[in-house]
Amino acid sequence: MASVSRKYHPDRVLNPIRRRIFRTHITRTENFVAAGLVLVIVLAGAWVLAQRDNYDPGERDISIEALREGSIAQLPYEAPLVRWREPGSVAGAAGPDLGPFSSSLLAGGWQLEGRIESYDASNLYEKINGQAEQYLKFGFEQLHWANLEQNGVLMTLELYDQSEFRNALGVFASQRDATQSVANRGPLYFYRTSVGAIGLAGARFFKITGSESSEVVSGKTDQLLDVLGELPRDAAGSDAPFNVLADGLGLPFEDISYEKENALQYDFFGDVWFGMTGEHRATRVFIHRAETPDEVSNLFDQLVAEQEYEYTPVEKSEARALMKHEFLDTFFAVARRDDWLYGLDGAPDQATAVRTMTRLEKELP
Amino acid sequence: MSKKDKPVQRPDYVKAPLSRRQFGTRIAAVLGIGGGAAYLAGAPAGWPLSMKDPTGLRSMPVHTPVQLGDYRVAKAAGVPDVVVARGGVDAETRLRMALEPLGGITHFVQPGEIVLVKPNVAFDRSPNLGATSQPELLSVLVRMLLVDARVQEVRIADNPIESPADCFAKSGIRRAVEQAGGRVYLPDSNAFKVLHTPGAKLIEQWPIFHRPLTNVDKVIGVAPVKDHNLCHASMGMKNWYGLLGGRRNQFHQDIHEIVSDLSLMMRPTLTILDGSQILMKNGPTGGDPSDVKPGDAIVCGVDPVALDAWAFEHLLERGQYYPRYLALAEQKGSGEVAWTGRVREVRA
Repeated sequence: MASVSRKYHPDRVLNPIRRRIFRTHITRTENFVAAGLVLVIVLAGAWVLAQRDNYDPGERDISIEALREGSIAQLPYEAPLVRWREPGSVAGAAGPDLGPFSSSLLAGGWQLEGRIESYDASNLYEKINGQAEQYLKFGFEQLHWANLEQNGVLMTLELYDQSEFRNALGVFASQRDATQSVANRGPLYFYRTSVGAIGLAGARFFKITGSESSEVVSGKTDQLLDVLGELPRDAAGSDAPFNVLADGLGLPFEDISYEKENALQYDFFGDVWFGMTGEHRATRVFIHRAETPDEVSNLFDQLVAEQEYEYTPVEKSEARALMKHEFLDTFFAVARRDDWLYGLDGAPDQATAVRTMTRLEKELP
Repeated sequence: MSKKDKPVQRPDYVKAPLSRRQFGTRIAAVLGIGGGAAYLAGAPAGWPLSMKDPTGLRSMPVHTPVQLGDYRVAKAAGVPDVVVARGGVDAETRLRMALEPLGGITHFVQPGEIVLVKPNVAFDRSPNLGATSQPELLSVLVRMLLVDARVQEVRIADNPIESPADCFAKSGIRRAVEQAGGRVYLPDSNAFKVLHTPGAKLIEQWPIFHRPLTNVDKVIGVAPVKDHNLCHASMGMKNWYGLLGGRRNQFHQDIHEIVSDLSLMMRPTLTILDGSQILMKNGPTGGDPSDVKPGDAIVCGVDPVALDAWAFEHLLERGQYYPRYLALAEQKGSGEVAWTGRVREVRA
């Protein structure tokens, strides 16, 4: 007791006596145990720090099964399942939103997987990253994408609104399988693939793709072509250059194409229609319609000047030029009339070039 | 002595008066601590040690960029850089044929390791359209890694811009690899980390789908061979684009630079090109099976640049007008375009 009282400091405001250890001796065992505990805590802390980034990343994924097991079903009231109906719409008339497509889209017991997806020019890359630029180059406006399913068979319908017939044709021509002949059904031009069809309907380019090559897919493709044929017609199906090539020269649809830019590999030459004519479709005629005759005149001069690097002029005037390739011996011709610029490339001889140009001039409006 | 009789305080306790000095010292201490706390709480944002955060920027989490390791394995002497296996009855035969001259799969991975396999699952297309990696080859590879190489875990991951779940389902890859014992990792917003890639021009600091790369020991790329609308060909190096996060579509403005950057970002253990369904045109999405050319080749190798160059010439049949990204990748030290003398072709 005396040894304890010696440690008092009578002048302290806060007397520490309640916290003071009365024992004068702490055993060695206790010291070792305390040191051991401290060591364990330090080691545990170090281990936690070391393992901070060393986790199983799968732990961050909570599976649906785990969520289901860990959840408790509480159903104080089970509401009857009722099909969703847009507020204000007629009762009983609601169905899934099919976007631009008619209800025939789901004919034959096909189900819509998810909903119709829509993309515009700002987010097209979200759907077809890497390919989007090809559509954007041709005046793309909107994509509608439908996934259909029936008994495990999947079908995809892609409908690209390219704003104008010429743009849709441009996309079609750049993607088309050249070995396939193009069929025509009403407003549709298309060719069949082993799992669907690819084609255009007015200003819209479409692709139908099934997950397998089967009768089921073939039948549904037919039916989807009907759905596409029912789409409202756009007013862009009658481009004058197209009519010259198709009706005037009588070229089949698959021999007509359109290039928005870099026609004949010249960056100044765009908005050009092409058609393959002659034996073995070797001669390619082209037509461009400009805004003004002055624009055509400038373009004509520029084109002739560029071509003279590789071609030798045979005939040349202010509105017409006929040239022969220095090495290939093929003929190139270009002429202008009002706001029309037209010509041909790859004619095998001069007579063919002259004959084709005469025919082309005759068909121009 | 009963509890009641026990004195409250020790009997020898003497109440201690407080000296003036001690009182002053303690008051100063209390004022100092209180004043310091008040300063920390109330000091304007620009002042030293201020805790004010009116814009919230100070409390934003700071993402320390991570850096990927080099997953390559040293090549044994006399082993070719690229092996092409042709023929064979199935993908397994071809893959084994292609790996054997490189030392077999056990040369690249060791028992107990974690392996990431990166296929191309970019689009929700069925495998017959050639836009994605073929599920059969992935299934064979996963089984080979688990059974032959006895690895701890095989992860399969990709970050498609479209719905990842749909892409993995429709391409048939999820089903194939899960049946084989692999584990599919789908991206979510927490699965990304900022990656630092020294020497990369466009992606020196860029978010990457990092969760499946956590603690990974080896990385294997399994890519289809396909045409690409912008960079002419999408093969082994372009495949790593699928790990990028953020608004990566902007890189299409300079696609050759980004593909060569990808060769710096990822130094894979092994690259496998699947030449069984080659998308010859209308890539990268395709849509017409007639654009797909059936083949019987599997190309494996440790030089991704030579691998792509060989495939561009022989599988895509584009001649030697190689895409510009191959030359850029070579400049960045990722490999060599000149494959002559470095490719061994084996046939069943």
